[in-house]
Amino acid sequence: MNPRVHLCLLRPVRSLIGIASIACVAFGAGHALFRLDWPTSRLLGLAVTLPLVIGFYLGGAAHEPMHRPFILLLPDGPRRLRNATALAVLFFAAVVTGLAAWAAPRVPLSAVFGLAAGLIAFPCADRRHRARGFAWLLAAPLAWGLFCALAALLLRPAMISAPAAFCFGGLALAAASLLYGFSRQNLRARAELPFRPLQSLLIPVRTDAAQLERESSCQRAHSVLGRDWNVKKVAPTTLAWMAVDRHAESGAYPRWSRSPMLLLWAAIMAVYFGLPLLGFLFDGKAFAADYGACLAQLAANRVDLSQVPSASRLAGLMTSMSSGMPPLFALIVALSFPIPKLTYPISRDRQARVVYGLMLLQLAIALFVPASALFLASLVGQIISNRFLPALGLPGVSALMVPLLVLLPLILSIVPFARSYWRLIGYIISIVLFNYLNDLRWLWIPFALTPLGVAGILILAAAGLELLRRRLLRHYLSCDLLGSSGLGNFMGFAMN
Amino acid sequence: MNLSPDSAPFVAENVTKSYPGHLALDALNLEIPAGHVVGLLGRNGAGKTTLIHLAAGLTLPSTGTCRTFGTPTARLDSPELGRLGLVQQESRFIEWMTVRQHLDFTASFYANWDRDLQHRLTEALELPVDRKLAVLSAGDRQKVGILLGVCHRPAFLLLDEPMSSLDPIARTDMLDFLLERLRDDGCTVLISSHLLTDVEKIVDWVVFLKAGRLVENSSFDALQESFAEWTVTAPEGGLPAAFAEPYVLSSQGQDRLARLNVRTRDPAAIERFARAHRAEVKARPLSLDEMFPLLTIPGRDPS
Repeated sequence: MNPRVHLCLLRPVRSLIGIASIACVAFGAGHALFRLDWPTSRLLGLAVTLPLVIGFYLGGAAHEPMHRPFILLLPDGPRRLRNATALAVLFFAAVVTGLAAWAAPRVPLSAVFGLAAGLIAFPCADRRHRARGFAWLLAAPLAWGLFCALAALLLRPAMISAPAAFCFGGLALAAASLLYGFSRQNLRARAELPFRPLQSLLIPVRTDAAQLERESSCQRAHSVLGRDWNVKKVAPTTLAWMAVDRHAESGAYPRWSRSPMLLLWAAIMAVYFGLPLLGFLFDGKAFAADYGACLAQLAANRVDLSQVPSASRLAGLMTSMSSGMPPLFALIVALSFPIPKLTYPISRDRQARVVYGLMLLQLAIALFVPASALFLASLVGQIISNRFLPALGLPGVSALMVPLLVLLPLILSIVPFARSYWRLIGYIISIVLFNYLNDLRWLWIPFALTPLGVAGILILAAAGLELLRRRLLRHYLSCDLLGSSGLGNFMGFAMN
Repeated sequence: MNLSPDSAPFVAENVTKSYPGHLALDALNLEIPAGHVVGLLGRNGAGKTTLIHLAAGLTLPSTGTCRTFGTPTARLDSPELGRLGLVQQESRFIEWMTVRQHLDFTASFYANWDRDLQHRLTEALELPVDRKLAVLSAGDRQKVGILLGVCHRPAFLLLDEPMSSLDPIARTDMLDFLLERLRDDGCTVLISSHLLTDVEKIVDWVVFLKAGRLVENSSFDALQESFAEWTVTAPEGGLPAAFAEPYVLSSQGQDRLARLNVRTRDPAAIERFARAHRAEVKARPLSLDEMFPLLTIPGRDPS
């Protein structure tokens, strides 16, 4: 295959951004979460995490044409695609080995090369029989974390003592993955199935919408029968039309566990509650002390990870992320609302009010979930560690709630709704702005707890919400009601 | 024909609709006459779907004003939307629902949803009501779209390529239904379709668009009367290669025999032409299919 064609399929800019961002998070989190020493952490990152991330991008580039029926008609197409992918696997394995020579000098390079090649090629063997983007996104970090925890102690010594096994084992894994992934039988199974590569998942483009629609349709065709709608006549109220929209979005899921929206919030809850719980279970009192200190720090000041002992980075990270991540999720979810999927016989004004109501609902959930997760974690931690922890009191709650209440409506009233690229740029700027302002909360928390401060925050929040309401009303008076729905869909998970 | 805005369910005044790098409609002035079946015709990209979306309020004009039932389309509310029906070529559905669930869901939005009509059409169109929309064929999806658009008995029905995926029997049923609606309720129908032989059976008014501009807006009878194919026979020969008469749109033929497409409302034109060319002229009215290229191909200006 012409290298330019393969490069085009790989979408190099998107891939580089994606690989760099995922790898950075993985490197940092590996060190912080599992308290690995730096050489082991670097080796794990270079020989395992980075190759796997590259592999998913490379596999995505190969799978994308394989999931289109025309691939079966191209003379010798699959073989050429496989050969091009094999070359790319060897190239990237060599790059990773070069990096390892610099970052992990004592580990034999042949072992790194073999392991990297095997892991880069491994995602090519992934055989998708049905769409499962969202579940995969949730499962991957958990699987990765589990692997890190188990492999951290064994990987480095094993690679040093048996480099040949890693080298040949890895190359054999690469060959098997490529042969299996590109086999004729696999190709036939893939051709009719929807698929989106990671390149499209993290940075959305308009052209992915049709594929997304197909995937969503395919997924729903296989889902269980949805709930019946028993309303005879929808009342002319905003609340009634909110219920209509929610039924259209989530009525397909008869049990709460099937709704991706609830799953998303449950996952956030699990991370903020579940991960500290692991810390309490495995590290007992030491973790409890650090976690308590972080909670206190969160309430009184910003959490400065450099000031937290490395043994409790997890606690620091959790508490720090508790105030930063939910608003970002809330932003994504809220932005998925601007255009409903169906055209309802209601005025544009009413539709704006429905969307506004749904955004308020998301804000309320975003306020409730992290606060309750932290509170529960500290409560359970007290019981497990048999040590008093400062329960999440008013300062902590305000540290979580105030940025959401004040900043999120303001940001939502600025972010462009209309075009996906502008929306994406606005979204990125919003994230930076939000985190920056959020980091300055140590300036306003002492003031926020005075009666005057509370009044001021409530006035600011009301003003922000009013701005958002007016912005939505203005937007709906001039927007087209035909486009696909919001950013959430483009991000790869339909907000059902 | 000049209609007051009150009697026209849709009025566009000097409407331009532009998208980045593309002008969909250009300074369009149009009134859809009430109680007629109006054929909205034109080539791909002429602006038909944009006009239908404008009438439904799904898109808004870049400049100019659109009014549906006398209300600016940005301000359409439940009373107007309840009287408006829209059937699109590829309707957006809630895919996880079965046909029955979707019909029940949509029925709850309208005060005057006609269950009898729903059942009658469901049976006539042989719709599998217990199947999910996600697994329906293109034809069945279009049938569902038709049901969702008509069962609330709209006073103004917008049909955008409503029959493109239907089989001939379903198409006939659909045409019968439209004629029945017109007879019973006096509903105004604006239909855009490339199936001109079908459209011809039901329309009594036609609107032609060419590259976003209005090129024809008249009753179908008047249009048919003005267009004709003339077969010209000159026993002595001497027919010119090109005819100078302004109403001759195109010609094919040789010295003794020519076939012309003409547009004229002058009943005496045929006699004058015969005398001038010393020829015998036989006239035949044109079908919509035959008129279509004369009205829409760039470079031909039949007006």
